[in-house]
Amino acid sequence: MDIHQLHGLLTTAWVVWFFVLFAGILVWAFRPARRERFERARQIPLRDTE
Amino acid sequence: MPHDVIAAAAVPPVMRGAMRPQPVYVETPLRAFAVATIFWGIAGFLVGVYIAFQLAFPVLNLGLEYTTFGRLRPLHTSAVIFAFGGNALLLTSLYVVQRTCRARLLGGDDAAWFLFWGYNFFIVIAATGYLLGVTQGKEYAEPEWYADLWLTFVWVAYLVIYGGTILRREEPHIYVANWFFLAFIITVAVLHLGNNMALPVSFAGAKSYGAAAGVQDAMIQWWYGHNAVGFFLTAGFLGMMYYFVPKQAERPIYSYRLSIVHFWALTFLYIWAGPHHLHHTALPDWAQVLGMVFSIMLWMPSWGGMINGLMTLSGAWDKLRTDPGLRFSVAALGFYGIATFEGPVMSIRAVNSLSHYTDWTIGHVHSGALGWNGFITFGVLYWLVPRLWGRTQLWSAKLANWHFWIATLGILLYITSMWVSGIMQGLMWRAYDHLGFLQYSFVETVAAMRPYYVIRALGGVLFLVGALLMAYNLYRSVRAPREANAALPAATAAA
Repeated sequence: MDIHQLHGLLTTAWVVWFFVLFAGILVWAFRPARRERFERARQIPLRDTE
Repeated sequence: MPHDVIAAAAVPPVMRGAMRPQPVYVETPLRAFAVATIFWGIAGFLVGVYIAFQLAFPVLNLGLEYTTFGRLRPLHTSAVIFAFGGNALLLTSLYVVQRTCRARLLGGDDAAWFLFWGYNFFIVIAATGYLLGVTQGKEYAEPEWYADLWLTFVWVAYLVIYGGTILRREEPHIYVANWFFLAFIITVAVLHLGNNMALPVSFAGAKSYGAAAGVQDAMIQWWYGHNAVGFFLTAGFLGMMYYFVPKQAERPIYSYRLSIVHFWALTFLYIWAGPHHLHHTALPDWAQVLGMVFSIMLWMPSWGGMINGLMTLSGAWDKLRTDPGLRFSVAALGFYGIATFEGPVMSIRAVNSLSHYTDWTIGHVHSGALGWNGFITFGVLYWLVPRLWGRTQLWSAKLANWHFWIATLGILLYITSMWVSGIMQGLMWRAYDHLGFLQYSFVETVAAMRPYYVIRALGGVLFLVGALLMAYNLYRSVRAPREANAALPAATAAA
């Protein structure tokens, strides 16, 4: 495999990798188990009264 | 102390706020950032109004090289984006990171003062260079190598101070506003380094030549230019939105999940959108199409963010009637929605062939800059400035309302006149007569646009007048006797 083929493979894999990564983030964000933690995170700016 | 930590971890953070003493936050240098934001804002708007009148009345170039449109225009863009916007971003990021992390700023007051003087020194050396004709000729990246090196140093310090404060946090979760601010700081650093690779001609001279040339240089420039919009004017200001809109509405953000998806979608997509600035140029077609497709996809996270901000107000819409700061923030989200809808449309190659190089682009930029960046900053300043000086109330809500309506009218005059003149200009450029000759000479298009240039300049005058009203209102607010407001913090705490 010469350098040009490798470059082609890597750029293609890059798109796939980003796609999988983003799908993973979606799954992570929408898991029901995280609901409570996000509920607490939402309140962070409102803790202090100013 | 360890016992304390364990006890604190067992209760939700909401409760913990009330139980643990608040760290002593860095505040005095933040006041300087607030003053600089207002000062540079007014200076930048003033130069903008002046160059708008120059386009309608060329005599205002004064026949001097220092005051020509070509030199004053980068002065305007840099003053409003990097001086006004930059000081606003430094102000809000340093304010928000301390409070959401419950940690004093790394390096304390000295670190914040260094950032203030270091960053504003960069603004001054860049701006004086423009007037003297010292420029790289790269849009939004005009400063020459010596200013670029200094900014790199200040910016790395900013990253260390900001990131170090996050590492010191007491709050286990990093609130989403900090993600946006951090993406802004890191990406701007990468963009700045990538686009300013240049070789100075001599050690003592200002002139340098860029490392890249031709279409590669153009692509690097617009990779920088569009991501400056994406990460300086969008991600950074979204960081403000995610903290100050909930603060003003006294409600948590509508959906934390949506904010996570918003953040990552924006980050993944924005970085590819730059080629839409180079449609129908020597840039390869595939790169142009790539830029177009990613620009269109960007519509989704943009509107996701807008919806997240607007829905935060559900059940609190009545606050719009009484809180002028919140009114600015909500209108800003509306303008953000308009600009991020218009942008993808203009990135379509067929539309771009009409809009590119015309005033339509200028109108589009200003619906984002005046409407989104300007208004969200005004909203934050109305809320934050009285509080930074230990007050909780504005001197005059009525005057802030005048600011709101005057500035809104100014923006509407600006963007509608630029739509008409830009589309007219594009149509005149492409009009042929029955023999196949161009129907209009260039100067005929200029003459046709002149009335719209005058309308646009008047819109700018209104926006500037609004900002002057704000400066006066905020000055009176911080000079108001403290006693008058003494009862208010307690009242808020009880509520």
